[in-house]
Amino acid sequence: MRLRSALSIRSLLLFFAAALIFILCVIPFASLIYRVVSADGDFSIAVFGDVIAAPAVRLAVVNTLKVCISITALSLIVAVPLAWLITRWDLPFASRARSWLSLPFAIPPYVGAIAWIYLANPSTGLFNNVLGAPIFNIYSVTGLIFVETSFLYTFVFLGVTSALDRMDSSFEEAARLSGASPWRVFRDITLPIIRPSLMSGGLLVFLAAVASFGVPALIGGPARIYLLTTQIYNFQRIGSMSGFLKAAALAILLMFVALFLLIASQIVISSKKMQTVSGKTARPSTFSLEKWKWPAFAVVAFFWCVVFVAPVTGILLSSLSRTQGDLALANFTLANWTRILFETDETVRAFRNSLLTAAGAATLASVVAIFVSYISVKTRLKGRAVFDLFSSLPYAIPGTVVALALIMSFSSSFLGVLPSLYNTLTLILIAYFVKYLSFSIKTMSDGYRQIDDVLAEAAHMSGANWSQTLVTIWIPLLMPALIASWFLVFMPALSEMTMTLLLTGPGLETIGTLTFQLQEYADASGGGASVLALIVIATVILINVIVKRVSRGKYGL
Amino acid sequence: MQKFLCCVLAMILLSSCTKKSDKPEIWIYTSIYKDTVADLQPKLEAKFPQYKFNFFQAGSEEISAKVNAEELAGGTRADILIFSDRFYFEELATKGRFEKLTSPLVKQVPESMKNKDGYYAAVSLPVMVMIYNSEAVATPPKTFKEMSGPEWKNKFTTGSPLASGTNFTTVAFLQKAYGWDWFKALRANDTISEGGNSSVVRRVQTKERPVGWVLLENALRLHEKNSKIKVVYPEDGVILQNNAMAIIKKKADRKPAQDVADWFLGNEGQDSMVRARLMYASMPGRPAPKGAPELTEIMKKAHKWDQSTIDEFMKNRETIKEEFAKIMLQ
Repeated sequence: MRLRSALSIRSLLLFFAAALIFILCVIPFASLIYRVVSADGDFSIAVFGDVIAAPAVRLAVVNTLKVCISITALSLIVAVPLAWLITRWDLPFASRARSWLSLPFAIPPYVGAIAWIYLANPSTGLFNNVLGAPIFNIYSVTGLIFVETSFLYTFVFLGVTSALDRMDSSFEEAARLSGASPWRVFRDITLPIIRPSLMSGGLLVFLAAVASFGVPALIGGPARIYLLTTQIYNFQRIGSMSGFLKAAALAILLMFVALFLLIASQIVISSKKMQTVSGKTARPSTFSLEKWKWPAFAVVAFFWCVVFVAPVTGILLSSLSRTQGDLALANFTLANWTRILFETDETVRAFRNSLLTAAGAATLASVVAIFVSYISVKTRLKGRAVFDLFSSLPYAIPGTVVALALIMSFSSSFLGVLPSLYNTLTLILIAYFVKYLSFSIKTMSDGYRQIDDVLAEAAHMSGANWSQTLVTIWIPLLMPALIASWFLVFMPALSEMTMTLLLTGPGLETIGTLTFQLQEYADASGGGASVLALIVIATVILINVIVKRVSRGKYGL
Repeated sequence: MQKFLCCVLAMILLSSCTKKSDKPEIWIYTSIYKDTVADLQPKLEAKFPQYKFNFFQAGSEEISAKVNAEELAGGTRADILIFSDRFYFEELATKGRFEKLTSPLVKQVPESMKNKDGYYAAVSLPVMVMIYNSEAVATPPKTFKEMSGPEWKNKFTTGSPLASGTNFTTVAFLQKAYGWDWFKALRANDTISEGGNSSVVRRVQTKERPVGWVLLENALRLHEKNSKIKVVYPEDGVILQNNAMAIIKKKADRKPAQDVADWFLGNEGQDSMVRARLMYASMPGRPAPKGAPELTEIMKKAHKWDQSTIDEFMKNRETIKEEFAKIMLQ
């Protein structure tokens, strides 16, 4: 009897989560595909052929592969040693360094790109001015890879540090006691155990790089490097219906490539059984850096300065500048700040709307991920991998196309049943949820993958039902992953611009639409957008500090 | 957990059941500035208290994408479109998606600024000029044409016709006037042609490229704060844009939309459109933008809009963009 009731709550919740993914992540894109192939009234896939045949598209494919593979490799190379150093060595200020190193993700990429253009453009970049020679050129393949990596390495970093936190360090200790060097312990014990996190982190970086638009547009553009997303944008901006269909067709192709990649990676990941958390482990004992303590710290600090302090300083200077790019003392002013904070009516409303939708999407995504990741990692249900896959697809395609698919599905009553969500904050929340859900699911799946089933079995044998097990075993052990998942959705959603621009309506301003409006019309000098970006970064830091305080330092980035 | 999920579900349902007002709604999709919208909306509401006005305000390209998506899903929600991609209006007019404008005022809009069959008409005229940063440029340029000369190497920037409609129009007219070789020379000068008008302003401001072509309104907005940025009205002709207005064909009664369209062309509407004096009005007799020559003056040299030009640009729309991309962007 008890088993049956437990089963029904469980199936109900799992079913609800799965249904939500199906409705929000599958139907809009299925209907997009349908509309594209039947746009002329009859069924035709000619548009896909046209798109593939375009030489510009082929070039974009090559560029995308080149750039995105480099970004992924570089992110792994940078993030894994950092994560290992911070969790396994006695680095000074290790816990603080961990928060610092997670921060670059909070910089809206669009603003980060502007900051780097300000710092390192070949003609007037600040660094080049100071050095008196055009040494740095941000408008280059290297520049593009550098800027993207400086944000995206955080995916790997967050995933791997949280995996290292959760893993049972007794294996490592056993190896050490048997006389293995730190490097050997890492290579033979740690690395194989964190491999799933590495792979899903790498995959996220790759997909994020493929889907990124702001940085390639701003930095790739002047360097004349075109990627698939910028090409989709070019098609869409032709303005005509045929251009629109080409943009949609290319996005759909991109979606299928992502699908292929995801399936391939799932096969690889699921072929390895990796469970290493067998309960709450004590803090792992750390290796001693000895005389390398401070040099190591200096390296970490320098890295942090490059990826965070430099762009934020750029943004700060820009927010204080009357005209951009002028470093004369007389040019500095607080006018941008007072204008945005006290003289722009929309600011408060934009912040309220953005906080509501971003927090709502982050919470919803994390909760759904608890169940969906459970299905895909901890059950043997047929077709369980499907949800993981479907939720990842929207991330792989550009925001504009996601928004257009949602417009098509929601502009009248959804599926003929639900009331229309068009022109509501809810639809904007759904857009964030759909776009960033895969962050949550990837993070949570890694979390589940590392937790040994024996814990749940033990709970079960002691008479706990499924929901009790969920609340007393899974969720507490998954807390670091949950927090990471929440932030991974919250941070980009807070300043999201591309999707919101198309979904916004009367009274629905967000930080993203306000930034756009300032940038495009009201505030051409660009200082206003920088003010907003700094407030966004400050908000993320503040929330993180609160989470840390409340959990007494246990949770948070 | 269940409670939470219920709450989320309830929230979604609640927020979707927005309060319905009994007034018929009029949706206006427009690229006119937010402050202009803020200025004219109360006037519209005072004049037509029986309707509820909703604005979707974004760039021309966002609007056309949104309308395209809504059209594919069975019909756009917009009743009135006002934005500056004339070729998009021409396309929808040919497809029979517009209702003819019935306002008698349409007659007064100059021939070259409206559809030959009366499906759309310009309500205002943005204009593409050049700006320069006076701190970095001693002798400003006088014409578009001279920008291909060696003295402007590493000095010139433009928007991209792939990114914005007003930049497309500009490229279309200039390639008609000077041919693609002129663009090849611009490329040889390392001209940066990227993004929309605001990117051009940013590059001129930071002196990354101290001269650029840009919409007059962007320049005038900037000039209020930054007197270093100066405007040049190129002697070889500015490029006039059309902020066009049209009414979407729908089963519903179109009289309300027609009344509103009439208002936009009337005194009050035209006053609101040019209140900030950033662009020209399409109806004769309105003041020119701040510090700008009269419209009649500018029209003498401006590149001419006529039906054959429109047809030519419409037909070659994609080739023009591809050719530009090949020369300037690859």
